[in-house]
Order: sequence, then structure tokens, then C-alpha cells
Amino acid sequence: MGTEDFVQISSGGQNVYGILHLPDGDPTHAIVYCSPFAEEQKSTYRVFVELARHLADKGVASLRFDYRGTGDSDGYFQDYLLEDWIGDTVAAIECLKEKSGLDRICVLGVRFGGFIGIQAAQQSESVSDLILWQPIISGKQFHRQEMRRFMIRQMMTSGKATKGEEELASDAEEENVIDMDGYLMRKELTEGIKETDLTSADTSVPDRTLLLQISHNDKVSKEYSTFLSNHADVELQTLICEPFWNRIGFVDTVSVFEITREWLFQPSDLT
Amino acid sequence: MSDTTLEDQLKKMIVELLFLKIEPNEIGTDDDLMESIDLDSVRIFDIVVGLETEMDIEIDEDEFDIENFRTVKQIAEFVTKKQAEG
Repeated sequence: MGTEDFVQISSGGQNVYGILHLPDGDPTHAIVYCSPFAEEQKSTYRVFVELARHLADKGVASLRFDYRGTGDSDGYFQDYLLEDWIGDTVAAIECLKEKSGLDRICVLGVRFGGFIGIQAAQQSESVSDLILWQPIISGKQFHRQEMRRFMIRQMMTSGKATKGEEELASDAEEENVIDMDGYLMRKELTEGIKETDLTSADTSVPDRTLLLQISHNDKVSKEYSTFLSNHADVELQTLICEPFWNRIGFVDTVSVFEITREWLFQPSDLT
Repeated sequence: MSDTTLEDQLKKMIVELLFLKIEPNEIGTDDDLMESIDLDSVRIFDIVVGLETEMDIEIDEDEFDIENFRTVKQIAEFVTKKQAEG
């Protein structure tokens, strides 16, 4: 059964809050969970809870936390940039090291959480394993998709999208924030995301990295193909499963959990 | 494959993308998708991403008009137009 306790982590002089799951007895593995962005974070919330409980029964310690400006953590969404959330993740990694007593930490990132997780792993020597569920690799591509989401919502309300990227940017001139469906994003945040491309070989990842493509078919996307061609050691698995991060209702994620657990417990060839 | 119409391909794609528990031919070419399959903003997003990746088109900002997405027939006409534009 294990224990679940609220934790307070200091990051950038503010408080990041999370839930620490510890198994009965000494943990064998420890995982920090990186949430997706905005609305996707809400749909993923319960999936993380269930995975953490499932893994606690197998002896794994988990730390779920909210980036600053989201969930229970300090601050307002518009106060933060990409590097702040990467810093929150690094702080969470250090916290889990201390609480679990383990030196080597696995980071699991979903969608935008993968984007953050990869960059946090680059900044922390404690990250031994990286698990990426349908991660964002290209910030530019992600921004484009978020713009599409924004325009589709306008279309569903008014029949036609009337405000595009240029109009949003123009609105942002005065306040320096873009209202992306209720999420106020600083111009520097959107620019930072757009400029970050993790597909190239310059992006280092831990030697043990799993990229799990979760999609409606098993055809590997162009973006992932490019990433994999530049990162030969990254293991790819594909799973046909509904995009739970983009659904309001229940989605069966048992297969996602099984793949993750099996990969995590695989003996490492690395010394 | 050559006998498969674009409309048929789109119906199959929609069923797969949205994980619908129906056969593609249960979607009528002229059905209002908002009524027949409860098409909402989340589902249109999946279709838009699917169209761009699988049909190799790029949807411009001013083309986010519900009349391009309301029925399979409208989507097919839109895709045909986009593909012709290159």
C-alpha cells in the first residue's frame, strides 16, 4: 500500500508542491512525473495518480508535482518561462533523491512534460532513465498545434476563426501576454518554446531513454523519426491508444502502464 | 485501393483517429458530423492534425471555417482543393 504525502519543494525562491508516493520498504526505483501543458495537464492528472499507486505496489517511489503557476504551486501562470519549469523539475529530482534514498532517478514526461523532462535531464546528473510518452520534441511544431487548437475553438464558437497568430501577437504588444484560451502566456514563453528544437543530435538524452509513441496507428511520425535518427540509443515503442491527455472521459491506460513498468524493470546493460 | 474514394479514406481516418466504435461506412458522406459523431473542438483538432499529416496538406489560418469540416463531403472538397493548390 505504501504512503502518500504532501511535499513542499523550494524552486526559484518559491514553493512547488507535490505528492510523494513511497512503497512499503526501501524503493527499488524512483520516478519524477512531468505533466503536459495547460488543458492536457488536467486530463493526465488521474493517470499519474493511478500509475504512481500501481508502481508503489511494485516498490517504486514517485513524485508528482505542479510546475509553478499551475495546480497547487506558487505563482501565476504568466509569471513563468520555460527555464523556470525546467528548474522546478530539477528541484523535484533532488527532492526525490533525498526522500527515496536513491541516487539515480527516472524522469517520466508526457507531451509537453517530455519537452521539459528532456531539458531537465540535461541539467541533472541524477537522471539515469527517461521515459517519454508521446513527447513534444519540436517547440515550433507544438506552438503551431496550440495555435490550431485556439483557432478551432474560435471556429466552434463563431463558425470561423477570426484571430490568428498575428492578431494574438498584436494583442500582446501592450500587456506582453498572450491569452491562449485563458492561459496567459508571456511573449518570452511562447518565443522560448518556439525556439527550442530537441530533434537534433545536439540534444543529449540519458543512455536509457524510452520514447513511447501513443497514437491511432503504429506509423512512426516524421518528428520522431528525425529524433530517433539522431539518437540511436533511444528505444522506440509504439502503442495504439487513445490520446488520454486530450480526452475528458475515461481512457484505458493499462497498456501504457504495462509498457512503462516492464521497461523500467528491464535489467540495464549499462554499468 | 484505387477503388477507394477520398470520402471512404476520410471516413476510415476519422474512425481511427477518434477511436470510434463504428464502421467507417456508418458515417454518411453528407451527415452533419457534429450530430452524427458528436464532433467537438477536441475531435476536430484530432482531425485537423490527421489531415495535415496523413493527407499532406497545410491548413491556413483563414481556412478554419466550420463549413470546411461539417461533413465528410465538405472535408473531401477542402482536401481536394488544398492538394490541387500543392
